[in-house]
Amino acid sequence: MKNIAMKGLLLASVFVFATGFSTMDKITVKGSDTLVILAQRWAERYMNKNANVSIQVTGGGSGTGISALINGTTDICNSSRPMKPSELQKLKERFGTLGVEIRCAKDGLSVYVSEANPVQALTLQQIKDIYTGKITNWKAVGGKDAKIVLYSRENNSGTYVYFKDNVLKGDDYAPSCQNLPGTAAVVNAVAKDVNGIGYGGAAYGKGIREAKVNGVAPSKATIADGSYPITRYLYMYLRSKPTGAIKQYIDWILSPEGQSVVSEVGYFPVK
Amino acid sequence: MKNIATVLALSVLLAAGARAQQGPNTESDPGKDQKTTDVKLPVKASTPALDATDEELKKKVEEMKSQLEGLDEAIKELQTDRDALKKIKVSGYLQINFEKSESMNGLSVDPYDAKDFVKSRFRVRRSRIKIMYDAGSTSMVVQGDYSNSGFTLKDAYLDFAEQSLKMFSFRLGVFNRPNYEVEYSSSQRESPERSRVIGALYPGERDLGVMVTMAPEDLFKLQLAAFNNTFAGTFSQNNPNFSSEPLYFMARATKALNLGDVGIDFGVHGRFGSVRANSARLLESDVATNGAADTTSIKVGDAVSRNWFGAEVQIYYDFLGGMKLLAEYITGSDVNVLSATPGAIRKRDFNGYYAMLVKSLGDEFQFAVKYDSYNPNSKISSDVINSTSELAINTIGLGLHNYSFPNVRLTLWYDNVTTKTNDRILKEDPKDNLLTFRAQYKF
Repeated sequence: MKNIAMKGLLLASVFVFATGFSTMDKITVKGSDTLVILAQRWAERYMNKNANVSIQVTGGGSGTGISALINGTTDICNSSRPMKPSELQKLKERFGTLGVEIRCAKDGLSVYVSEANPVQALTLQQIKDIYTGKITNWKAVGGKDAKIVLYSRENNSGTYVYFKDNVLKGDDYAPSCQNLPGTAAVVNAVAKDVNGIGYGGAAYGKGIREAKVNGVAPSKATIADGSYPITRYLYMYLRSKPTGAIKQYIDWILSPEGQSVVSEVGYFPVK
Repeated sequence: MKNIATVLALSVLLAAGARAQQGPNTESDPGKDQKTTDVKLPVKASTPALDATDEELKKKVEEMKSQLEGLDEAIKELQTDRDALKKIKVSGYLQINFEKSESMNGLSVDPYDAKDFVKSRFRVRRSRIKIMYDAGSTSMVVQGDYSNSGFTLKDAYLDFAEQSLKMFSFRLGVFNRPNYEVEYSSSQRESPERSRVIGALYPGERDLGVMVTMAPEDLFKLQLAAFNNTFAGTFSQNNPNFSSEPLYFMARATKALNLGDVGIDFGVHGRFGSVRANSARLLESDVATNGAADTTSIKVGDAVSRNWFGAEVQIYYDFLGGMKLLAEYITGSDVNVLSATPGAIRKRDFNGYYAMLVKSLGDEFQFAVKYDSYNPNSKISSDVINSTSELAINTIGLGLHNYSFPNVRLTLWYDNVTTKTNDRILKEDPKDNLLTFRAQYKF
């Protein structure tokens, strides 16, 4: 029985080794909702030029994309935040790799207030205090005497995590914060709520007022030169070093042609 | 009188309503047509019929507006409920084994009541459901195992993290003891069972206590824990030969290095404590036989140490889809009952180690090979040992995992087990090699 079992395992190993590295023309991309429009544009543009490549792009949030990367159900994960050490640990455990991080675009995170709100500027500390529940009334930041209504993204969103780590400095959001699916929903909620405040990607910031942060308004120039304080990179993650069709696609994204799409969508190129 | 007043009031209201139904006087309300453009109706001239439609539409719009506001409120309520529910996380896994042993010695029909031995069997190895309430910096976990023998509590702990330095976190309850392979869940581990040395030192993996974790960002991780032997196998079952130590302590320090394509995690851990002897006879770990004559006198209540130290390393290499090497070595001093002289206890020095190489083969397959060695009596020759369970044992295992189906892992694994023989009690290596096929579902 020992010999049969050993031979069986050996044969199975040879078979999977031989089939495990077949050429792949289908590429799946999953993750960040912030990146989903940009990722779709990249995919459309690339597929127009490369008919033999099929790229499927879905959103769902950075957390969802990272889980898919760890579970092996996506080739590329889009994320609007860096992977956490605990997530990297899972990737190490499952695949024995450290993951590959690619910075593919730059983005500014806007803080939205209603157009009817007299408050037009906030400091980072005030934003932190508002979102952690220390400041609950607009009067405390120069506005009228009204309760602040907090809108946030959902906790599987990279924007949510980035904001928590970098603006709230790791503190918990106030329990009264309402989590909405997608930055567009946050913009919509703030546009309808004169006492509302929200945050999200600059590319989504239409129809509401984007508050100045530490005296600097989010703009192409201030995000590009880093003077706007809430800027971040947008990432693509892979399980291991890219090869074949995935490598060619990544190379194209980082090429001048791929990076020109970044500007078209409203983000900022990394090259 | 009161009734008459009510009737009069109603009549006035009805008359006013009837006037409203007829529509406003166009001459006295010249701006009305302009206002209707708010709802974008192609009205050119005001007529009583059109004004009535206008009023109805306005009413409809108002109705829909209030309905939308109501829906908005309802959505906000639902969002609040959903946010609360999202803090509750349920996960679990199920492992079904088919096992085929080399002889009739190793397996029983009912794994929970080893009466009838068989060569092959199916069994439910794990059936776990874990419920977590995650409130960010605090959380609570309860995990149970549901098996043929009933429900067993596995994990029950709470975590909280201090928020000023963001460096310390605390855990209290029943949880895994700090060791690499102990904390590496069997739903993820590549070998079907833990190494023998880990199984011997940490039966059940968990115990009841408290742990402080210190993790300055990216520098290192230090775990310090104290346990009280509630779930620690032999020492928790009121063994007449020992009194459980009141507390024992554990420490583990780890560091992760990222060197581009290669990642090296390494660390050390230790366990410090003792048991109180209920016997006046003790056999030292370097004494060759375990007859009563070889024992030394001790006092009942004397502390007999159970201390050990271990070193671990995990190397990850992004080579053709990824590979890793996991290894651990533990040595120290343990205590058990002296079988030949009931009532006496035996100190024994031991050592054990394992090394496992795992290679990813594409996204769906994984190959692993593991060598595992455990010597329960490292200071005496195996030739003088009188109990088969005290002999050194080495295992080489190899297997293949498949991840083709969502949430499912299929495992085929073969363990070649070699027990050290001696002329006294074991002249031949027992036929206990084992082939395992496992289907696991995890969510």
